[in-house]
This record gives sequence, C-alpha cells and structure tokens, in this order.
Amino acid sequence: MNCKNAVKALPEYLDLTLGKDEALGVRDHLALCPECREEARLFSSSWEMLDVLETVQPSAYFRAHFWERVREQETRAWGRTGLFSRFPLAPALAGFFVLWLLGVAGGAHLFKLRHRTVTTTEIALNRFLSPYPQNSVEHIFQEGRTPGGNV
Amino acid sequence: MEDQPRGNVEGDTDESLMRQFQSGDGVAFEILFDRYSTHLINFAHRFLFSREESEDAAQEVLLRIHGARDRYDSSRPFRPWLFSIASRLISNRLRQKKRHPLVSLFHSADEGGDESIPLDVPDRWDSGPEQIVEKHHLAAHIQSVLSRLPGNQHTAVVLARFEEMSNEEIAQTMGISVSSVKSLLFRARQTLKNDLKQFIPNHPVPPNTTATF
Ligand SMILES: [Zn+2]
Repeated sequence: MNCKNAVKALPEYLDLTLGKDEALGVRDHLALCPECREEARLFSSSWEMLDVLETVQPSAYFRAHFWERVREQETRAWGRTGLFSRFPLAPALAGFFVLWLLGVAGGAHLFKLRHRTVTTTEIALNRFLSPYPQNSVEHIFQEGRTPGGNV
Repeated sequence: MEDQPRGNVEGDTDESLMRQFQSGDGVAFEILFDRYSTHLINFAHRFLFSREESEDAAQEVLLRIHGARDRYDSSRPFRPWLFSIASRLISNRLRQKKRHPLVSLFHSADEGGDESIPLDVPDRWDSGPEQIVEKHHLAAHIQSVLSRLPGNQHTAVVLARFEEMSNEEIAQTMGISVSSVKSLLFRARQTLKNDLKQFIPNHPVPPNTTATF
C-alpha cells in the first residue's frame, strides 16, 4: 500500500470500520512510514478534539413548552381541517337541514291539532266558559242536558 | 398518571414505539421524546450554536414527528428518518439566517458578528484560568471550522462524531450512497485535521498560540 491509499483509508482504519484485509494493509504501512503515522495521529487527535464542544441539556421548561406547542398546533389544525373547512357547502346544508326539520315538526303539530280526538270534558269546559246564554249553566240545566251530553 | 407502570415499553425499539404511537399510545411517544430530546437539541446546537434556538429547533422536529406519525413507515429505521427531518429543518433555519443575518436573536452584527462564538463552554476538566481561556478559544475555533465546512460535510461529521451513526445510517439520513458518505467524511476530517493541528501537542504551533492539549 502506498502513502496516498493509506492516508485515504486512515479515518476508517481509526474508526475500526475498515475491512480486515485493507486494515492489515494500513497497519503494515503505518509500521514502516513515519509520515503516515503522523497523519494518523493528527486525524485521531483532531477528531477527539471535537469533544470540547459543549453538550447542552434540555432546559426545565422544554417539555412543558413542547406540549404547549402541540396544543397550539392541534387547535390550528382543527381550524384548518374542521368540518366547515373541509366541506365548504356544509354551512348551507346544515341550514337547509335545520329548516327542513322545523318544517316537518311544524307540519306534524298542525296535523295532530286538526285530527285529534276532542274529549267530552273539553267540550263541557268550553261551554261553561262560553259567553253565549244557550251555553250558560242555567240554560244547560234547564234543557236537562249534561255538559257535552248531546255531542 | 405518570406514576403508573409503563410495562416493558421503555426497552422497545424506536420503530416499535412509533408503531405503538401510530396506534394511539401516547406513552410510546413520551418515551421517544425522552430518548431523543437531548440528542436533537445537541444536534441542532452543532449547527446553530445557540441554546435557545437549538431547543426551539428540537421542539419543531418533535412536533413534526408528533403530527406526522401516520406518514412514518414503520418498516424503515426510525433514527435516520428523525435526523433527516432535523437536518432539513436546521438547514432551512441556516438559510434564513444567512438571508437575514441581523435577525439572529443572540448575536447582533455590532457584537462582533461572529455567530460561531459559543455563549458558554463547559469546564469539563479541572483546569486553571489559562486553560479555560484556551478551551474557550479552541471551542470557538472548532465551531468556526465546522461552520465553514460545506453543509453536507458538516452534517456527516455531526452524525458520525456526535450521534455515532454508521456510514449506512448517515447515508439513509442524508439520502446519499455510503461511498458518498465516506468521501464527505474524509474531506471533512482532512479539513478538521489541517485546521486544528495547531492545537495538537508535539506539532509546530504558531508563536501566538499556547496549546495545552
Ligand atoms: Zn506513508
């Protein structure tokens, strides 16, 4: 192995990631070549030197702040992807549905009023409350009728 | 709630946790959150060199993961997916910073303008004031060297050196071939070697430098 190839293989040789045969070639070359040994030392030392860089630990509020941001993101996402945003016709359809529902309910109520069974008690009560003399209590008793009796 | 036992879920692989999260298990996401928060902050810090910005970037990555859980293909490795998202977000931020350099929150132009100067450097060794100054100087120099690397070399170095990723994982993360990764790393390591050798002992150093390493 020549110096050029040895130097090229040095980082991997030092990281122990070089293939066995090539690693043996580099090792033999280094044993004979002081220049490449010096290169190996510099490669190794400069790589180790990166340790001097600061290692940062998460601050006390890192986790809390993260979850705060998750909640903000989810609120924004709901605003963007909510029902009305995903289906632009949804408000009109919702309005139409509400009107239809009111119509059906109102119709059902009127139908019930028109076709309901009137009870004798209701008729009697109406007669008692009626301002017309033929429906007065005396008149009814004079006719010998019970309230609602002839209905 | 948090005191309830979580079963064996903490020993699960990332991919398994993502699958559980996709099925609606929030605890699985919290484990991934704990597993990767510090990694993501530090990954961002190797590019942005600001604690606040790095935390913000890491949160943004985790938000993407949280929101895009359905888009994750659980048959593929999680870590490269995670760091590919992180790389994209951070490179967008760096582009924005270059376009609007005065927008930088922590280093204004009239402070000297060098964004690579660290705000604080760890005092990891018991050493005197001279050594601390030297470490500050070295850390600033390393940041400056890293910042001047082409973006893809910088990413490859950070993934290899700090995330201890294999070349295959780096290739998956960056969406390039393994041979391209090797080439990027070799060029980056040559630059680092040449630019940092003044700090390596038993090597001729410039007269104004007092390297102690
Ligand atoms: Zn040689």
